Amino acid sequence: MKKIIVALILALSAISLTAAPAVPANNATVQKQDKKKKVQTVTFKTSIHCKNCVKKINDNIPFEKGVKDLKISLDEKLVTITYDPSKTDEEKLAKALEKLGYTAVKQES
Amino acid sequence: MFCKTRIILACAFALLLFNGTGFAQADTSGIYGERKDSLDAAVYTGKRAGNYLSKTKDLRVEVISTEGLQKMACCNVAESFENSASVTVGYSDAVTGARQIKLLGLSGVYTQMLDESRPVMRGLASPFGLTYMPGQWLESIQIAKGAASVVGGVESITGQINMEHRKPTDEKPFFLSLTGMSDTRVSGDIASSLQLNDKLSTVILGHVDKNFKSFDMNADGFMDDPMVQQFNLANRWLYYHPHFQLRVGVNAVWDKRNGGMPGYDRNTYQSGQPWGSDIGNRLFGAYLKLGIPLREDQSSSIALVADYTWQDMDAAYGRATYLAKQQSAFMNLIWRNKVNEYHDFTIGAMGRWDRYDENLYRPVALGIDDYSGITDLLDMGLYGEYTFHLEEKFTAIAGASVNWYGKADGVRVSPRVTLKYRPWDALVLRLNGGRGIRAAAPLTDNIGVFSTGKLWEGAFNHHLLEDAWTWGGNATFYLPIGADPDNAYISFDYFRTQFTQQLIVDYEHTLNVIEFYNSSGTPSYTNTFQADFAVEPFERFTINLTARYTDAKVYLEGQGLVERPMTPRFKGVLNLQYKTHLSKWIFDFTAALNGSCRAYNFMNIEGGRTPVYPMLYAQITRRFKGIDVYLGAENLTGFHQKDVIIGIPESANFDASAVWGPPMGLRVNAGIRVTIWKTY
Repeated sequence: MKKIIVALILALSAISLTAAPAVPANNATVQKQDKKKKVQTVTFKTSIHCKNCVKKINDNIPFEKGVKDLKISLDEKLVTITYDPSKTDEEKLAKALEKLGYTAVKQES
Repeated sequence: MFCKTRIILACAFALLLFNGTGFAQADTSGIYGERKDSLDAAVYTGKRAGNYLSKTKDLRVEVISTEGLQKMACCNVAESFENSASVTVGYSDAVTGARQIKLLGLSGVYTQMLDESRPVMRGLASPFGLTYMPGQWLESIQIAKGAASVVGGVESITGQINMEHRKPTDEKPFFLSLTGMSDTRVSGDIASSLQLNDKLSTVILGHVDKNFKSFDMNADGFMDDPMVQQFNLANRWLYYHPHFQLRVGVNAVWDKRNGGMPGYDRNTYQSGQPWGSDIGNRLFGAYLKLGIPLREDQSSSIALVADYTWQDMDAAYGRATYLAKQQSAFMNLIWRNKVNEYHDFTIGAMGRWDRYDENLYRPVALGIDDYSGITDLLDMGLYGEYTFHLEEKFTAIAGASVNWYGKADGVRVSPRVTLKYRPWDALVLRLNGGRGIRAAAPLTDNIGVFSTGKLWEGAFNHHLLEDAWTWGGNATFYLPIGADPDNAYISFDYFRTQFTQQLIVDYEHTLNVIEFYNSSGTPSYTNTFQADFAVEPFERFTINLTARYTDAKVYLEGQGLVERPMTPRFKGVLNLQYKTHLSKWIFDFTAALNGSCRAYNFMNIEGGRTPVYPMLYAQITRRFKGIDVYLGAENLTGFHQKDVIIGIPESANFDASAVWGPPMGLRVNAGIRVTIWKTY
């Protein structure tokens, strides 16, 4: 029993130590990708209002052609999509959101 | 889009109306609008861990989200608890396939099961109820420890488990799930949420479960799992009107299971022939929920919940038969009034009626257990609850329920208190305590007693009113580490349950006899300590680690206060999940270490304790647009309990109910989920 407790404490400590500090990893990742693959990012103000809307977008938009990354902010009703411009464009992405039943107004950066 | 404004209003109304302590409050929001986890959703995250501790609930609540429910091929809700360290799931016996959970170290019968605020899986349904709730019908499960709000009644002793179903307003007109397992078990689920117009919507749910072949991996002559056929159907409706919301629903279950030795036939069985069980269960239920706002700003409202259930169990075990019917009716009238931003109160009246019609004939080596009769159980009460809020920093809830339990048991008062303090954003402290009272169903609460050759003595036909106090607390520290600090925490719990009256089922007092007696005045208790740690060290990789220690003691005649038998002392669960970019591939791994239990004295295990054993699970999921395909394995080490059958059928010492480990080894599963979303 003691051994198990010690093992658990050690495992907890190890995990805590190895856990990376809170960094804006998302932005860094996107920027890296932007440089590497020449992708573009667009943000839409939408009419999402609940967790189910988030799930609906998460289950559908990633599978649209050319979509490389997706971030959703329910508080701000923002959907940010990173995409490959050689495969899709803002208009097609806005239409994909509208097809799911949401308004999609492009936000100027 | 289907009536979005109305859904938003309904959500807001629901939150205003029922944002209190437990599910009884929160769940009633289902009457009015969308899901109870809307409060969490409003704080947004785009992703959500499979299992996590809720930051916002007043009670200590573990949430198993849709993602958590999909971590394993959960054919039913019992299997979805394999990921959770709060809940332990096991088998009641090696014959019937009945699953049994434990919360705070005590049998699942002390945990109130709720289906969106309605108490379910009671009485005859308790042994198999967990297998009657298909996992794919659910969108989340919330496990609350401790004394919940009095608004849902006071049957909960160790906590509440609430199941949120797919909603009529879900924009998923078609969902199909098919799973096959290496032991020839297949299960299928279908769901369709349809919005007929901007006021009326419905969801239709279907489930089928069957295995085609039985296995005997531990070579004891008994099937590891019974041969099962189950059909399950439900239909739920929502009618929205600006001045009220009405929800109605019906469900039906047909279940047939044959366990024990292959070749058992209840009609021709004689001593010496293959012994087994043949159980048929039928269940029908209907409910209604009505919510009416009394003020335009929705700060006052009234709600009515009504429920009726009919169930029938036709069971044979060797030469024994148990034919039982149960009718249950439940009604709850709730008035909530928000005085201002600091104070609100809830007042209500509830009534419950259960009628058991039981017919038992059980000849065993030492005698005959024989009983036939009708029992009516009543529980009627008034309750009130006051809540004080100081912004998000402090919440205090004090409630009491005064219930009349019929002439014999009279009136009992059940007070309950909850305190939640959040001194700063990264720390949540909770204290909670109160009294719980429930009527025992001695035979179905302890379905394993049928899978023995032992004589029953005592109060096996008396629905004793069990009475206990539970109190405890929780401290959750949110840690500024990892890719998602909102879901990085370390949490500690302590809870204690102390019975003032409990039905004891004693296997150890007299050799080859199971005694049922009242523990009144004896100091039985259970202490549980639990620590949870969660972190996302880097994006899309999550770690959940839990350790639990249980100190459960029971007072047994002739032995005094001893460790409660067949209750694991500790459990540890490690869950790892990695998702590739955009969650197109998901890898899940769960390792559980199950601690030893004190074995019954008749089991003759060396040292008197069962061994510590591991359980490993893994699953790979590939997501396509609208389609998930998965491949998984359970019990990767192939560990299974040997010698699960003691004695031979019909002998006085026969016992197939001393189950502490899995009866079967490695199982592989594969499945597909198809979802068609509504488009415009």
